[in-house]
Amino acid sequence: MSPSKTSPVVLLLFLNSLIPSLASDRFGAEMIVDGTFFRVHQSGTPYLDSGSEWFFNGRGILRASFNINSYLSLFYEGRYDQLEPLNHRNVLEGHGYGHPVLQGFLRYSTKLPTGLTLQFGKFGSPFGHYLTEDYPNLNPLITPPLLYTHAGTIRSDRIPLDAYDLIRWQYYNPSTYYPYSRQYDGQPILNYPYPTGVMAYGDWAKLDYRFAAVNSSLSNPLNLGNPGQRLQWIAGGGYSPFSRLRIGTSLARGPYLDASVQSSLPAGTSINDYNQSALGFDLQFSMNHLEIQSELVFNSFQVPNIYKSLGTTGYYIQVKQTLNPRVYAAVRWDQLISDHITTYYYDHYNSSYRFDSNVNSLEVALGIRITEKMLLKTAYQYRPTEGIYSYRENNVGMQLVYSFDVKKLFRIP
Amino acid sequence: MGTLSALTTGKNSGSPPRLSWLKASALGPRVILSGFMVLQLLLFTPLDFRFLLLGRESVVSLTPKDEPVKGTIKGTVRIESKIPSKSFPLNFYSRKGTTANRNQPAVPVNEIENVVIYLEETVQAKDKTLLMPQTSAEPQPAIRQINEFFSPHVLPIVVGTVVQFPNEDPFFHNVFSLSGTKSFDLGRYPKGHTRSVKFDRPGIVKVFCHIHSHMNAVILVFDHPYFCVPLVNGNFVIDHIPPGRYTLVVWHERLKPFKQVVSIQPGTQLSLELVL
Repeated sequence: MSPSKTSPVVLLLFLNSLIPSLASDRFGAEMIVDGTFFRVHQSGTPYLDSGSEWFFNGRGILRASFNINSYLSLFYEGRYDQLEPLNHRNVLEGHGYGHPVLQGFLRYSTKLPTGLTLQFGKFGSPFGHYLTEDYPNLNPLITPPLLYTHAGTIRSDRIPLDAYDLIRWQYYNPSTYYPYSRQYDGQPILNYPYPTGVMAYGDWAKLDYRFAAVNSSLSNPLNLGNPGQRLQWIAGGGYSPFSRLRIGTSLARGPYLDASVQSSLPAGTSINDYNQSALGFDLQFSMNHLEIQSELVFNSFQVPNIYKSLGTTGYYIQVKQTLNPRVYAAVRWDQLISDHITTYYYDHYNSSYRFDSNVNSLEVALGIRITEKMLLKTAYQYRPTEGIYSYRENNVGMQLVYSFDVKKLFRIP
Repeated sequence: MGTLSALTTGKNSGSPPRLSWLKASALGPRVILSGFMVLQLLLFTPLDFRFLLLGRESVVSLTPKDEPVKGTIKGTVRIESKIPSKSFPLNFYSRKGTTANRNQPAVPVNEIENVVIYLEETVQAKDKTLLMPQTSAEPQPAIRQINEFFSPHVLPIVVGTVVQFPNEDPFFHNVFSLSGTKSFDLGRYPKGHTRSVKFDRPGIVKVFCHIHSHMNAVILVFDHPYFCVPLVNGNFVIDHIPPGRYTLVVWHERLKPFKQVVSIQPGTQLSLELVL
């Protein structure tokens, strides 16, 4: 049998052997679906009328894992988002965005006392506390933190001519009404970071550690096959002095520009010369029915044609209190503060301007557990933005989240 | 005795002469004595014994009159149906901080241990004196949180029982239930600590963990003590059952319950082989 005919046969045999495994206790899958009604009311916006707009967004997440043996496991995650792509850019009206493979990795557990575990493939970034905020059944509020959603001025596929050009980007990039991000051309500091690479992590005594070598940056994650991938690293660790408290720190550094801008760069430089650097601290505290979570990130971008690195400090403090078995209340205070750069702007010579808007957000939510699998959240968000132009948002929303076991749904034994 | 003496000897001042024929008869005193003894027996013996004396059929019992002789159900149960899969731990993300002991195997599952056999429609369901209240000397039953599982997975108890929920994992769990029978949320507490819940209504309580979605347990709360969990080999015993007709139920969380009508005779042992 020739090799060209062997491959499909081998694949078929492999799949045929896999089917009984899928029906065994080594395989599990769950789906998380949510529907969100959100009203955005914006006021004080130049060039745009103040007003309100209602949105509905439907999303689905499919997660599955398969234990090959006691050491090896396979993990998979795919997503669908009705309204916006995961990179917060190029949002099109009425367009659904599917991500067939958001995560796909092999995990090897060494069983060593230090708990060393290796992960190969495409996985969620180990920076900070990102991943738990990216699931609607784990996030006690409706919107994720600004660190993950606010699309700022900096772009990976476009470089400014100078500082003045960068300031103008704020002015000529108006927002439109979307529930979780804006149609800025920029990108968040943590822009759905699901890079590809290898990660080692574990814990020992009261310490935990992780180190990842990946193919792309926090703000511009690339799939395998995309041009411009560069090897870069992410590291982190944490200390739990006692069970209720953990304090963590994270570091990440690497190039963030797309390969498409190479020709626009100053002579003698390459995309590898302009890095995103991030230093983060995170805290988790739990006691009885109270949960506190906080992150603080110092981020900077080296931007072509700009004389200094542009830094943003972002943080949030999130508190959740369970009031009774069915009801909880949560609140999050969020802030993004951008550095100043000196430039002339209209008649103001050598004045200092923030290269990006300062964004604040106060969101309060009430969560009602209808069943152990179904969660209803109602939230109000006040979101003032201060920059070249300032505006305020008063947003309200309602989100219904339902998570279920796929095997039970389809009666897979 | 004084009265008897007066009757037999006639020393009863002022007694009418109508008893003179007895006194004259040589058999008189014996007749009177015998009749009096029979009268005492009829008045002061148990009802059942009186019936026996009088020739009626009855249940013979030497026990106090309010306690019928109890019966026993004994037997084996086995599972032949295919059991649908249970929740699977999707541990996508490493728990930053302390993790479970990786050297310990997962909690082994023998599905027979998740079977509960109990009686329905007990006539004494409302007789609270038949409940066996937990004494302070008895250890409270517990559902342990260990290796990201609840152990045991199924716990049958009697109304009024207090169940402990000790955390034996080196990280948080958040035990809760939204069941109509009993809703509770124990919050987060570390290893070595325990919280307790009193179950004061009969019914089924499903228990979960907010943090680990695959963790679940079932507590069956009965208003009577006629239930049991089979041994690993399938053997079971339910004893001290009052006589009567009942519906025996064999329950497993993920299988259709098996029901059989049984009749318990006093002092008898009913042997059954049950298949689920």
